[in-house]
Amino acid sequence: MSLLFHKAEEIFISFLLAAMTLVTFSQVVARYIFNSGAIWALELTTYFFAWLVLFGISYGVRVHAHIGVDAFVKLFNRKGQKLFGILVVLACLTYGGLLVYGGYDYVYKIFRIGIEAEDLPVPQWVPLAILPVGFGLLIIRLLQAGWHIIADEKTVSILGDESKEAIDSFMDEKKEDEK
Amino acid sequence: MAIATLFITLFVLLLIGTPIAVSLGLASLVTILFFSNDSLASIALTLFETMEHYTLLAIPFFILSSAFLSTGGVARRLIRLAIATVGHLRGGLAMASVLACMLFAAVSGSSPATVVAIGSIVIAGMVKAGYSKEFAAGVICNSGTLGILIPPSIVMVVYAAATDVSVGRMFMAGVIPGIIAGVMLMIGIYITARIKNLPSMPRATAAELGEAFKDGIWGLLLIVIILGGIYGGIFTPTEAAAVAAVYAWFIAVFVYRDMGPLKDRDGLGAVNYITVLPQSIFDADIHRTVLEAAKVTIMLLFIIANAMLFAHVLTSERIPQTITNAILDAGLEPWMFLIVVNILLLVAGNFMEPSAILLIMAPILFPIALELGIDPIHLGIIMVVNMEIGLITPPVGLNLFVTAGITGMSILNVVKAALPWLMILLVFLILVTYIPAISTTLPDFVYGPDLSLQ
Repeated sequence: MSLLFHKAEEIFISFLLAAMTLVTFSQVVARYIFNSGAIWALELTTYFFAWLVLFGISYGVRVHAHIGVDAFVKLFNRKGQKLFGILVVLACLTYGGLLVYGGYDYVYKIFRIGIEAEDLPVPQWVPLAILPVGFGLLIIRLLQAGWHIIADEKTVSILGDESKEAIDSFMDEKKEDEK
Repeated sequence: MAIATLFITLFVLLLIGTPIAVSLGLASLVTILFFSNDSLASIALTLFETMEHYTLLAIPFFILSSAFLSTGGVARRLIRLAIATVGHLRGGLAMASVLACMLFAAVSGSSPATVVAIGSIVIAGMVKAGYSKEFAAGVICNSGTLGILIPPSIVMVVYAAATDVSVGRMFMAGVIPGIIAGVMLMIGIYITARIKNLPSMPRATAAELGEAFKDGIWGLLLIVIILGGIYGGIFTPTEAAAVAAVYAWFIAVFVYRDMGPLKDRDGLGAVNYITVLPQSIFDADIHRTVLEAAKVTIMLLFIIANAMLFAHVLTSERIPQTITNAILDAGLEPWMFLIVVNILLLVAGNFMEPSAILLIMAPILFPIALELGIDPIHLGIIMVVNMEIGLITPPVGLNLFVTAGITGMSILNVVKAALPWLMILLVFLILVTYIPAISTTLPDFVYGPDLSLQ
């Protein structure tokens, strides 16, 4: 079940990035070859962009993509590191909580006013709804990550190691090439 | 008071290991809640509006094109071309690595990506050819930083977004400094090679050089598309980035065939294009590359959005004005101001992600620079070069970690290995700081002098 959700999450994120690239690319083609363009294209692209980032924040927590400074925390033993890890989760929960509230507040206001988006034929609150949704998902993922730190022996932090990941993915490819 | 709260909260959060993005965002939120009347709703909107910034829209496209270039075999061909060009000199393989980094930097916008793409191939090659591992690691770690100086550059896009300088001008401004930095590193290598008697490779024949050039031409064309397209007014930098991403996908899948459905297949006749096109969209390799690019985009833009919020708090507390007045009242000369800028950025570069530093520092430094008559483009290049150095100084030098990862050396050893070459970059920083012409000549020549300054 959760595997299915993970797969869907990844497909949705990839789709958003691919779609915004292709829409922008097609605008260039349209302008030079067909001498035309769609006025709604830019608005659509920026909404895809906002959705990609705001929906993706919680995905970033799952795959440990968010980077931070761990030089100080590394000075402590595992127990101390876990304590800092939990403090960090609490800080992130505060952040997420404030923004779920702020996001909901804003979307609700726009919903009540009932205005349309500039160029696209949708009410403006629809693209903005990603604000409370994205930060809400972040809170769920943070609770999971916090539970991991408490329950799992090895996990001490939600931070990622960007360089290690870049290398891992590269080595995977290399291995496949060698096959 | 507000400003102390802002910075102390930020510092404490960073120290305990909070992700950089959340540290910036939460510090801003706390400050706003206690000291200002802004509503939480308007803060949420500020985060959303970051992604409506047309200039920043270029970043995901450049990340995607870098992802296709690194995995799609372009790096390998650029290395071959570089070796054929300078490999026959003393220390030639090391010099070729620098040249390969420069070429890759000219098609991709990120520094760690350059280190991984070029370093993972050439370091092993250099060790096999008789160089010490430390020498190889030091060279790659440093020349990889050219990724953000030679256009296109994600860091320059961020600077342009923060200061409303034209992205095209910034890109043009990076060309000459990038070449100078690369040549300085190569001269350093050549002198070391003479003293230490490092190996050279057999001279490539004209035919081999031609062959290497022909093989690499598809990658090199991207330089023409990006810079030519922006300069020629064919498309905006953001559109250029999207075109680059689609182009990089196209050559990886259809021309070089290093990934996707055509991998290891020869002969066009056997392939039915109608079946290949959908396959190339659902292919596992391609899906993985896009997802990887999306992950980097999310991580970076989450930091940028929160840094924008942080900068917003700084401006609403009128910090830039206060500092500008203090500096002007102190009667600081431009050259003294530039020393301060360099020291400030070098220190900050040790602890933070480059894009975040630019977004926080640019609103503070930019108005002062204007008052003192410093060209915004010149200031931008100074900031970028400082960020380069930040990438190879501990504790948060991303290039150090990446190099340690691909060589299996400890961080400390990589720091030691990078140090001699870091000195060259510091000399380069002084050159760039005090000779504005290095940065401004090309953009002024191409676009004409910046009229907004007069």
